Amino acid sequence: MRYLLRRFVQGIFILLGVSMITFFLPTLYFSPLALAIQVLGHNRTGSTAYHIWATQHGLYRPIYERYWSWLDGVLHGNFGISYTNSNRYHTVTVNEVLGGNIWRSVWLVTIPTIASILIAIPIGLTQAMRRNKPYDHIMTTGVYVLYSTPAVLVCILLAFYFAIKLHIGTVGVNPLAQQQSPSQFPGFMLHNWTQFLLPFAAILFLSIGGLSRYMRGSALDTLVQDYVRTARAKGASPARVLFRHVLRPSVIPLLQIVGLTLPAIIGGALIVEDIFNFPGMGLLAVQSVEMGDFNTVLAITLFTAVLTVVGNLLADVLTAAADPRIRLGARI
Amino acid sequence: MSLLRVSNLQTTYSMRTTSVRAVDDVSFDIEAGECLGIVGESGCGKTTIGMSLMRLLSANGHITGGEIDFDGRDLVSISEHQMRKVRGNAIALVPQDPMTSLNPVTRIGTQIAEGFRIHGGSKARAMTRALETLRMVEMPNPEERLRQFPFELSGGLRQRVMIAMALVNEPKLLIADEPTTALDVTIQAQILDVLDGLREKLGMAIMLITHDMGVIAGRTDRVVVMYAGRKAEEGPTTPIFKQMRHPYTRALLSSVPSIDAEHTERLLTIPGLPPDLSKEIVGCRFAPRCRFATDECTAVEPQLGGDDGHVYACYHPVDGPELIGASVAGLTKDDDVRDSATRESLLTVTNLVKDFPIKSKRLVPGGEHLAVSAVANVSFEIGQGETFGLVGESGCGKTTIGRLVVGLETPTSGSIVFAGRPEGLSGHKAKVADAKLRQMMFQDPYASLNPRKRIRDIIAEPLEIQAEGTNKTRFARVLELLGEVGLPADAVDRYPHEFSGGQRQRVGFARALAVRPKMVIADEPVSALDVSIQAQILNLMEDLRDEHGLSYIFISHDLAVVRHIADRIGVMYLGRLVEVGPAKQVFSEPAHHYTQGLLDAVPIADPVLAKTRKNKITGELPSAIHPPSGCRFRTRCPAATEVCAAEVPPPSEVSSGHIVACHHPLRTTVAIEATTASVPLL
Repeated sequence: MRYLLRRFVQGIFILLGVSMITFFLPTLYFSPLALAIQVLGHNRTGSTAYHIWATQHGLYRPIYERYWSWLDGVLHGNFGISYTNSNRYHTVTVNEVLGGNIWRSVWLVTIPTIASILIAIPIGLTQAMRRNKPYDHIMTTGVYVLYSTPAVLVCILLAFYFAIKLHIGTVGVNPLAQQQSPSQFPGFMLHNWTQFLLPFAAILFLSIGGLSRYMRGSALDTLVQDYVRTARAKGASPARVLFRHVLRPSVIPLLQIVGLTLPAIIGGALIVEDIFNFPGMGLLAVQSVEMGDFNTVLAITLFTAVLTVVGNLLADVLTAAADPRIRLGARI
Repeated sequence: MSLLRVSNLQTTYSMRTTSVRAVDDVSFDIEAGECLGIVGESGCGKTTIGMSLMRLLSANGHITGGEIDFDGRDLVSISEHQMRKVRGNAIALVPQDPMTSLNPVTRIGTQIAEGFRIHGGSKARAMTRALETLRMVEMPNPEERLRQFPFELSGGLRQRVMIAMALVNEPKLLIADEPTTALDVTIQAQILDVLDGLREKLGMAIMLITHDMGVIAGRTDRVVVMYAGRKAEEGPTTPIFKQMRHPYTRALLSSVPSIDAEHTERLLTIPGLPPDLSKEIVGCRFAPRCRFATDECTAVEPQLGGDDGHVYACYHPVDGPELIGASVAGLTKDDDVRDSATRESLLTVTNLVKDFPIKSKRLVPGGEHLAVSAVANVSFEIGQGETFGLVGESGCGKTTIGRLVVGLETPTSGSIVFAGRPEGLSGHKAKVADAKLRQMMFQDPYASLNPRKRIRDIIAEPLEIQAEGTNKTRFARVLELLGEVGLPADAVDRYPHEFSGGQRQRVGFARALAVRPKMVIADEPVSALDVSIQAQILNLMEDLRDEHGLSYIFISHDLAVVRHIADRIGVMYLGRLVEVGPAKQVFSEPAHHYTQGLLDAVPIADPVLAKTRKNKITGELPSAIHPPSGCRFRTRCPAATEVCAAEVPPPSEVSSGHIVACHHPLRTTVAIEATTASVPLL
């Protein structure tokens, strides 16, 4: 438990660090005046109106004060104003812009990741058991092809061959998805599963290569352990040896790797969302960066960090659940 | 009809291009209830025999000939499915390393019960059975253990679990493959006693595979001596030790240092290395290393012959052990050189303390800060040219002292003073200057040499750090050192992996000697080596010590090795030095109960003497985080009283230079004043 508590406290500090970096960099880059012009438009005479707006929004305060009030807002669930969507007549908050995008992205990352773990474990395990046999070589080749293909290419190939040639799944997600509330979205996904098939498959293909390679290596390490021989010396059948003695020790390191590769998966999701028009954070991020809507970018970056930290924490919890040495604080 | 009859067993490992016949045409029997010892150096095929019997060879290993008749069935020809019914049931295995042989993520009870369940035991009885077997192996607090995980247990307790696991179905044959090699002597004695007792109680046969002649001598009925995949000699235990016929058996026994031998004797070594089994071998396999070999030996391989029950494969059988010093010239050393009374002091260690802080509840303010007390108030002195042996169980702090003296750790308090150390230096410069005084020789010859460096660079590196000489003179020094440690000059451009364990240890020694240090700290320098190679390295260390006037701190868990090489000995227990004195006195007249117990636990290569041992240290080493108050040994001491718990025993003198820290010493002592400067303090 102490181990998890420590990891949790670490996670909080990581998020604090990320928030500082994401806040200070764009803040130093955009002058208050530039933001005011972005919101109020170019056609004002003189600079007074812009300065008044910037003062009203507290942009002339010292940077640490601005950070503090921003952080205060974030902790209360308020991510500030979306400058590009606001104008002199009405204000649009980042919360409104983000809407359900974050939750949709969480679905896009977690479902294929869990699926790829479930597929990678048997692939890696069977490869390890047939080490250097034709099966192993064929799988290795296949996995490397997946592993080394850029995300963009995976998406395009999927869209081209499956959606266009074979009519399995669709090239894009119906824009209606944007209007679903977080609670409606899972139902919407199930109902229109053909639209979500290819973006999910793309993420799956992107993550499965690395994971199954790692699982193979981990299982190879376990298979030569003395305790596996002990199990065989007890008269255990190959299946029993595999499920009782090889599986768990091999999966434990894999959990950590999933946590570590999570940022890469989220990064991949960004591209996948853009290509399949999936209304998630990635798509929004691309649009916000293009338009210079920095509070929205800030919020998305922070959420990505939260997702990574939470994912890692989850991996730690699972590791502790699976490994008594960590749970009970052995000095390894 | 024997329980097990192995006839003409042949086991081959296929390599990428060649194949290695690890066991070649070996036959032996084991009677029900008998203990058969299989002994030999690494690579002789002893483990392969065990794995062949279990049919648990690695993927590239195959039984290529012969029969294994066990209880009326041929284990070679039965199907894998049938074999699974034999494994863990009629034949069980106790492997070498208990630290890695238990599943780390499964509870002890479940692991023991698994074997019972596999062979048809009911689920309801399984845990009860696990508890019963834990009681059989005399596990302390057995109920509690069932729910524990392996990492919560020490090595000795884990080996008890391994034995319990093997016993769960009451096997007829127990294959114990080096069951105590990874354990301390005191724990080794306990485990071997457990095995002995169970054999008697359950009437099971044991096949005891080991490299340790001492373990074999005390416990077995008969012995098979293996050499290079062949059976060299087989016979009842006493004749094998007292009237051996094969020169290899004799050489193997002579290269083991004896715990009560006079230390002036030089160890007999077996020159060379065992043959490469992937090549065709003509003639006797031992002939190239045998002093008695003739043309006949190298032409045709000798067949096994001899009296009923005692067979050997040799044309020129010897008769009993060698009379040491009589037949081979130059075996006795010059005794005068090793007189330790009149030495100038080289190293003075005073009140040395080393605590290793461990992570504590730092999130809680005022939380307890825990520390492992690795070295607690240790003082000793080493003279010029003297060899100081440090002995004790693992975890007693002997390695930490070595690392402190060599500067790899910083003492928590206390001082380490070298005579002749330059004054006024600090920081990195002081470290470099100190490195000229003392160098370290490491335990593991495989891990302590950088695999990507050539031998010349490895040996020359200390010289480079000292900025000594030019490239040219350094290279000359490397060649000189290689000559001194008995390696060929063409070794300079080779990499560590091209050498055997013994040769690598020579490289490690050469590296330590490169800067001509006054002292070499050798931490278990021979414990990873086979006995014949061990003897070569020990002789080399003695030769170079006498030649260069070196001092050694020789750290070892092997009392016989320390007895052989050391002038003075320090016995450590849980961070404390409990007894110091001249090697001869400490071994012949131990004054501390711990020293006595250690000595009695050492297996001796004499079947008659080995069976007379009785004093045993019971229990396990306590935690160094909360060491016992007063005398740290009191929890395992037969003579402990209240005063032992209350006060740390002060040092007292048994005889000149022989000092003990005990409230109830085994010899009469005189109290010494702590202020006497000339006496090494405890």
